[in-house]
Amino acid sequence: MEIKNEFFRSLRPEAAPISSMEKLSVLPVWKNNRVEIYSAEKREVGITRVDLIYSCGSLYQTKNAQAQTCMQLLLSGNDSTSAEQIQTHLDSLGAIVQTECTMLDSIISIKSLTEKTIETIHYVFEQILAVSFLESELQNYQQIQIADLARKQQTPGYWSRRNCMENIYEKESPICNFTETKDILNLNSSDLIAFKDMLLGSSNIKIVVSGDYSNSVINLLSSFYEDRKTHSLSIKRENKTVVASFPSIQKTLENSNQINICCALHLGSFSEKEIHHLSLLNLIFGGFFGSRLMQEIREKRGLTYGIHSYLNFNGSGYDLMISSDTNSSKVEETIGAIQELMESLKTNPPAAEELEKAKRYYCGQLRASFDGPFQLSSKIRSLSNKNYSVDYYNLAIPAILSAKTESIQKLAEKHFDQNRLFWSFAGNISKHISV
Amino acid sequence: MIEYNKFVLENGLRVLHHFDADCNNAILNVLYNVGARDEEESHTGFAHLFEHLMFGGSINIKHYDREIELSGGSNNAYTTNDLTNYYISLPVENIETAFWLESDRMLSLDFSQESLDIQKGVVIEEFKQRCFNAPFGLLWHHVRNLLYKNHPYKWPTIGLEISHIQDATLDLVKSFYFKHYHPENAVVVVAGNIDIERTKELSKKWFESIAPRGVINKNKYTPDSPILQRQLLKTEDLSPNNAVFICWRGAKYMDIESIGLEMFADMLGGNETSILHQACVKKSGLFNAAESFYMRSAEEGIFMIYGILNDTITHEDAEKMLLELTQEYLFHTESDSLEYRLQLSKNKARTSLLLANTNLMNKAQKLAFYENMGDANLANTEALQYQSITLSEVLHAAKKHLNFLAPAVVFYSPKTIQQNGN
Repeated sequence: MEIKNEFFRSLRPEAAPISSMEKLSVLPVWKNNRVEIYSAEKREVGITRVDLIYSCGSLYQTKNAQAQTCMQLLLSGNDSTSAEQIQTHLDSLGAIVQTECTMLDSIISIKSLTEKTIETIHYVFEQILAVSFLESELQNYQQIQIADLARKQQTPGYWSRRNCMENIYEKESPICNFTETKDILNLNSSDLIAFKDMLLGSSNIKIVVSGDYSNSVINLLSSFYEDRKTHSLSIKRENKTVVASFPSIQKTLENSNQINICCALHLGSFSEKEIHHLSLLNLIFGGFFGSRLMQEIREKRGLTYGIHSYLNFNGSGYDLMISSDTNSSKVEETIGAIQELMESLKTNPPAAEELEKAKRYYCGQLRASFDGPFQLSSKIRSLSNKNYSVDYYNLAIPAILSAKTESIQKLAEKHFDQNRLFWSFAGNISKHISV
Repeated sequence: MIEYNKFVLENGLRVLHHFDADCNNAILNVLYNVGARDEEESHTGFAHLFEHLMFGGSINIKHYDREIELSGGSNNAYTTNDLTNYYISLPVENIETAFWLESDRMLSLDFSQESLDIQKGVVIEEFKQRCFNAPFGLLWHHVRNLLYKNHPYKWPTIGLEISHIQDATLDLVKSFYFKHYHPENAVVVVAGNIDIERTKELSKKWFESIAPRGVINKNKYTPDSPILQRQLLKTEDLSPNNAVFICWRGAKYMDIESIGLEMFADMLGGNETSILHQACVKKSGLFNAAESFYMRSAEEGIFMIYGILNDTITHEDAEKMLLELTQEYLFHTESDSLEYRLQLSKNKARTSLLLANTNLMNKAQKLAFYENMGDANLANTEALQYQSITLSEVLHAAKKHLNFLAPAVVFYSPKTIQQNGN
């Protein structure tokens, strides 16, 4: 079949690098000594979103699974209002309320039809204040979570990550608090009430209002937090790193079909300026489709459906993590490739084209991450968790563009120490895997 | 409301344009009217394998992903039983790069045995990851095999078996490409801070000279006869709990009955306030999950009720309980109560659709999808369809398609788990 291949098609259109973006402003529209309220640019989208961000995550829990359970059951009602009544009422308002709990923070996210926002916020706050964490609700939640946990524990990815973290951090570290059945069963209502009181009474609460909203929403939120009781936080637990006494660990799951690899390397803490160069290094190594890991291990050798590296923030610093599900019979080849590629960043650092590609990708993605009416919340959350100023975003592009081959190479030489890289394997393992 | 313009190029390619001044990035979305249902039964998984091959280089462009990354963009694709969809998101200043890339691979791919061999390896690993390493990974293999006997919906997008992917040849791949990847079988959507004139200019420049092939997918498939008796499959799985899945074929996407089925599924088992969850999980404690949903497809979709069981109930009793609850709900619940539940489902649908329309990518893909279904404006009227459906229509759809004497049922039991740590 003849194909009309015109000459102009071989000419790449000009593509300009992103060299600037609109400055982010994070000045609150209202604040007191505990709460700051931020508002995004209004958009006529018919939905209002209110995110309540509490700097009180599982770092402050006094029992495993306490924080997560509390957040999941925040709208579970009390003796006079059942969880079903609450959910039914929210459905009648067309409202979606979601909660999230991480190590660093806890979030209540309310999405409502614009015309129902005031009513929705009143209702949600009322129910959260009145929740009593009934035993029946807790028991119901426990049996669901136990079954869910049992399913997760069938997957290689769960075990490789868990074994990895439990070998590079002290056992008591929050980052190692992988929930077990006994943890779920060990909780009672008073544990959940204690965490809720601490959460709602904490300071450093950030509220972000976005989408289609009126000023009455901000007025309502500010009036709610005008005078509220504070509760002191429990002791904040720290993640303490350790040096593993052996380089790897493996766990056989005979019913699996692949091997999941999880690697971790402590990197330490980085300022809001330094982190962009580190992020660029990670990008080139394994942080996007054009990375060395992806191109070599998946696209050239077909050893995996996916492999990537990422920077994991542990509350005070970063770990480099690598993750992949790989063909069981080729795991040693995959290990060798990861090791070579990690070393190559020191011996064969990114030349101009590779570095330029990563920079352009990073800048483009960063600017695009501000698209949409609801993005402000994630930005404020990120800054709060990492204790960065708004310069993290506003000076990002100049920081990225200033990176040179030499600076990336120096970072790799300083931090990519394979002697400190810990390997964890789980899956269809028939013999000892050496690294 | 998603405002859009539409024009058709001389080669038959349909192009839609949606203006949105509020985004830094623009989207170029290309939907091809080819999915797993267009495969041969002996070569399943092909449409999805082909999706991967589309990233292996085209006639003028060796490294597709590299060009997008240099433009500061990202891209991906997905394949369903009905279609294959490719999308690029990149800074609006660089939108012409997206036109260059997508038009080049519509023109012709750089076929090579090496690329084919590598992507086979990747897709096989994906198969293992999704189907063998995840609980209920083979569910859709089982369900589709029970529900469809003649229709090509009987196999899932990932493919029936790894050997089908392994056996793909370069000739088969080329034949698949030339049959399905051409202007008359595609819809392009451009969305973002780009005006209609520029969109027309770029569309004409890059796409118009790609020759049509005169082969339009008429989407005609061998139909299936009604299922007249219960079918049961018993199987083992990674999940440590017993589970029961009960399914029926449903209505076509464009029939109002498919919305009726979707609403009924939400009313019956869509969240924790539903009758299924309350009876099975909360009150009896016999299940740790019980839900229902309707998966819409261009042709007959799939209505599913499922339960993950605790140790205190057998498969057979669980099936009986789920079916009895559904029948009770459908035939013997007071209409006031059902009207109220329907209104709740409509409220949720309204909020979900509004939220979806705040995302530029969602809007672009929705326009492409509905244009491929015959009318892009359905992207704007779907909300009204959900709000205006009556209880009578919902119940009619459920009663028509849920034959309680002839469900397709899958019983899952746990595989024996062996774990060793070293």
